[in-house]
Amino acid sequence: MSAWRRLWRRTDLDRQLDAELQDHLDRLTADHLAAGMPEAEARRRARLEFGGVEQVKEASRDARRLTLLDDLARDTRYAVRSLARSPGFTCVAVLSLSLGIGANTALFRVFDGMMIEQLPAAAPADLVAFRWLGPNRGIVGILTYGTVTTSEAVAVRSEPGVHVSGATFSLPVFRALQESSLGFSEIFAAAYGSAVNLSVGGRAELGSSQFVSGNYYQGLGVDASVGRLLTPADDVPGATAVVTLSASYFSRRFGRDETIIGRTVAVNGVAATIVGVEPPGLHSIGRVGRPSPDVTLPIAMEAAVRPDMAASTMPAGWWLMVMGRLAPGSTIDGAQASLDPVFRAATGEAGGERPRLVLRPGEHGVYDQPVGTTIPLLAVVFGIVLLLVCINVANLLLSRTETRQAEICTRMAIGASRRRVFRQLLTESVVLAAAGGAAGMVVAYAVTRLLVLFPYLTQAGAPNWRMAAFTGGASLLTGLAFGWVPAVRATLAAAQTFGSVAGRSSRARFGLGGALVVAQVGLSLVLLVGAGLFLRTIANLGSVDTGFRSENVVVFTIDPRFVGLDDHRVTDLYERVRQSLEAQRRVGSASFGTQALLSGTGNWSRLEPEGSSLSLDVATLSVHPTYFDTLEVPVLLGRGLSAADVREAPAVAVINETAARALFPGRHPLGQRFGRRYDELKVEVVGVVPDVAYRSVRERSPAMVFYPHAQEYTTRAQTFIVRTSSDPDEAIPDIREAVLRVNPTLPLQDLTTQRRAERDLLQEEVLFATISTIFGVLALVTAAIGLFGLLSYAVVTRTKEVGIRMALGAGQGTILRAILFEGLALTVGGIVAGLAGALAATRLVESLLFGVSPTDPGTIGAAALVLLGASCAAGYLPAARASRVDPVVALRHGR
Amino acid sequence: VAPPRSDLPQGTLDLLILQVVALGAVHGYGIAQRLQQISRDVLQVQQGSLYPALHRLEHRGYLTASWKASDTGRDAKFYRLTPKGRAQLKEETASWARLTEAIQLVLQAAGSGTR
Repeated sequence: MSAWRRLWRRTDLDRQLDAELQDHLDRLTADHLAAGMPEAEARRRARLEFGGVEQVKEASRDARRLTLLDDLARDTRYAVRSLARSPGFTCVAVLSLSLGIGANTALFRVFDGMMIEQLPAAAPADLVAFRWLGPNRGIVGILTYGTVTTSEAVAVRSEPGVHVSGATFSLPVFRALQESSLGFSEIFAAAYGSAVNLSVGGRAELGSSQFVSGNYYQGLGVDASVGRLLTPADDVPGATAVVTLSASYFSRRFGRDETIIGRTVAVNGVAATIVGVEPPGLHSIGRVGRPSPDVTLPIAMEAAVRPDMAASTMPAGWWLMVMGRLAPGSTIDGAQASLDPVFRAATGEAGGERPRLVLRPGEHGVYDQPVGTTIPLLAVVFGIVLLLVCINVANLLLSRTETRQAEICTRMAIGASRRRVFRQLLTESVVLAAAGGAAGMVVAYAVTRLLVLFPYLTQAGAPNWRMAAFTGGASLLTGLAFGWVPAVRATLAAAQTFGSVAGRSSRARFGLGGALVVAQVGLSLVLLVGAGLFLRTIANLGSVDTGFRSENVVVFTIDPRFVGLDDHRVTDLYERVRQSLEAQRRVGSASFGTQALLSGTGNWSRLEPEGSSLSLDVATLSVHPTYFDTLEVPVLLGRGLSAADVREAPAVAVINETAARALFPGRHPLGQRFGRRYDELKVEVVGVVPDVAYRSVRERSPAMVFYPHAQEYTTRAQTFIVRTSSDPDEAIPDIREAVLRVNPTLPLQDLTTQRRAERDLLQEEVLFATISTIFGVLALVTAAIGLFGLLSYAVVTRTKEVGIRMALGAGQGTILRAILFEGLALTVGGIVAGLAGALAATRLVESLLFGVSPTDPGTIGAAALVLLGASCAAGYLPAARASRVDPVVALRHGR
Repeated sequence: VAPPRSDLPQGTLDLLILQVVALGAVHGYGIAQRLQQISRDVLQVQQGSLYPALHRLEHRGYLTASWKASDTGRDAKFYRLTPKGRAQLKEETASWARLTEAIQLVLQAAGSGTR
């Protein structure tokens, strides 16, 4: 500051000021001299009259320095004082603003974490994601595209005219790409492993895993936080088995105990040395926001860790996500052109249509973010909320400026320009919005916790400058949006002469306030219709007949691969667990199968019935003979599965009614046989069960085939279903104990009740219903308050009119009805306007609804009725007050 | 015998300065003298507020200043009104008239009310 001031002193302006003031002093002295004063006295008097020269200089300099910023600072101080004088108004305004801004900040935070955040790697802009694009079937050398799962196909955006786009590669193809590395400094790969059993010092626990190429960390350009990370030397056949831990697993399981480095962990029974810990906050290369798995293993260890399904030993297994780091000077397009021939050569010899390589920027991960409809839908809901908040605060400001009219008039009368007052009022709005934005941070925190419950929206970015900028920008825009109209009105009104205050028409006020109420009602209708549709969807989904009884059922999964059991002992294991469960006091019956019903997943295979040319995709399960009994599913025709259906016995199956109709149209299903693609066996149908809900209650029961467990491949994980005799939650400890008694190292996965598992499938619908109901009710209340305020004000300003009408013979009832009718007219206007909005907005949710159309007249009618009821309630008090007006008093004093 | 002097209501100094300068180019001392003369010695302007006001008005573009030779033989800083300043003067005069009229009305009404 002092350096700046010294500079300032030397300026020309300053010398001019000195000269100007000196000139003034000289003239004053000269006048005194002319009046006959002696010179010394004249100088003394002049100095005395002039006062402090330095103060005058300082004040003059300040006057020049007054800029827009100074005005802004002054306006802000004034705004804060003025808002502090009406704490009630300020509280209500800040609260509603914090709701609107906070909700949107939370959504932006989730959006930012998914769409904007980059992988926490060195120079993420140089990362390139590898994809391929190709026809659906038939590449020479590869049977199919391998393990491309449904969720992956959803995650990868498909392109027009092409059937399949994938983001996973087989090990030979990856090695070919890596060997050539044209245009790249590194090409590296990673694959999610399933859950693995991690046993350290005899204590076993399940953890998530990934398999990576040896240059994975090198490619990402990250360093270990403790010890070392994997290197290419760890990823060669015969290398010592090593693992690295994620930073969060290191602290969660080992409390950041660094002595763990160098110790041995058994991964599914395979001993490996812990060599180091990843840097904190590392994400999986699959997708930004997905945390790095608990343990990372070299691809060379994959066959040992999961011998039954080792993808690395299957040339046709496409399982590796591949990423590259561009070499300095090369471009994505150039790299794609030079690597595509390498890729094509690696995919097969000749013939057929082969996939081609597609390279994309990889800073957000290999997969696209599955935004789906969730984020756009939430953006619509929260946008409406913010709009409602703006309208609400604008309404509050309007009535506030009414009462401040005198103050504004005075300010303008003593010289403040219209623009100045306008800016002042707008500053007040922005200060209000800024306070709302600050309070909105708290709201945002709460709403974020709600949002991450949505499937797919599981990642909220860490707070960063983008979020701060978003909140700041949103607050500023919000402040301008709701402050603009009231400020224009206030300054316009004040610019008229004082004399016209009394004659001001109340019609204009009703016009603008009325329009705001219409908008509020309309937006409320949109939210209420949304809430109604989701509530009905949930009710409909809850009342679907699933074909089995979900009450008092506990489900969990065990996977023998975690304890390294071989085929023979596994079959034995399942039966021993089942019997141990049935021996429990609280357990009625226990069974198991390859999956529970309504688990959200499905398994399909192609069947060909004998004696016809049909070929159908059918849902298949292999189940223990007690499966139907435990789920209380009756056998309609023939028999159920039995203990006699062993591996050596003839192959049999039970099918559901839909399968019977689809596979054997017009024929009696019992005794019919069908063939399968993957073996030569002919399977005989021995029974028919009714249709049961399979993957989700939203879908009609598909054609289903149940194989006896003993005749199917059995080393897979099995899901147990346990029918308890009382509250299933109380039986869970007994169930856990019964399993551990059979094998103490066997982890129970996904232990829950059937009811809870089914409810979890409806998570998204429930969350949308919750959010739209909360905000719908809030919108309803604000609309009602807005209407109440408007009518109250109208009644006050029109007391005289009411008095005249009563003097002319209008009864109390007539007045009451007239005022109520005005409120209802506004509400009906809002409903009509909102209807158009609702019809447009609910199309967005069509795919999430069940058993109800987005234009369901019942729901829309109910929402409209609720609004009409609220408007009657809001209008009643002002109407009643108007009807009690004493005409004599009104005519003498009213306006 | 000097008449009692009145303090200027806040915000009116700018209006008075603009009015004086509107009569012709004048330096700071001249403005102070002119105000005192025209108001028959009722209004006296302190230099502590005159010069900041002049500089503020110049900064806002209502006044423009130039150094010219003056009667003392030295250069003095003369202020003139800009077109913007003239518009501002008109607006402020009108708003002042409104205010005084309103105050007058209130005073008269209140006066007649006290019977």
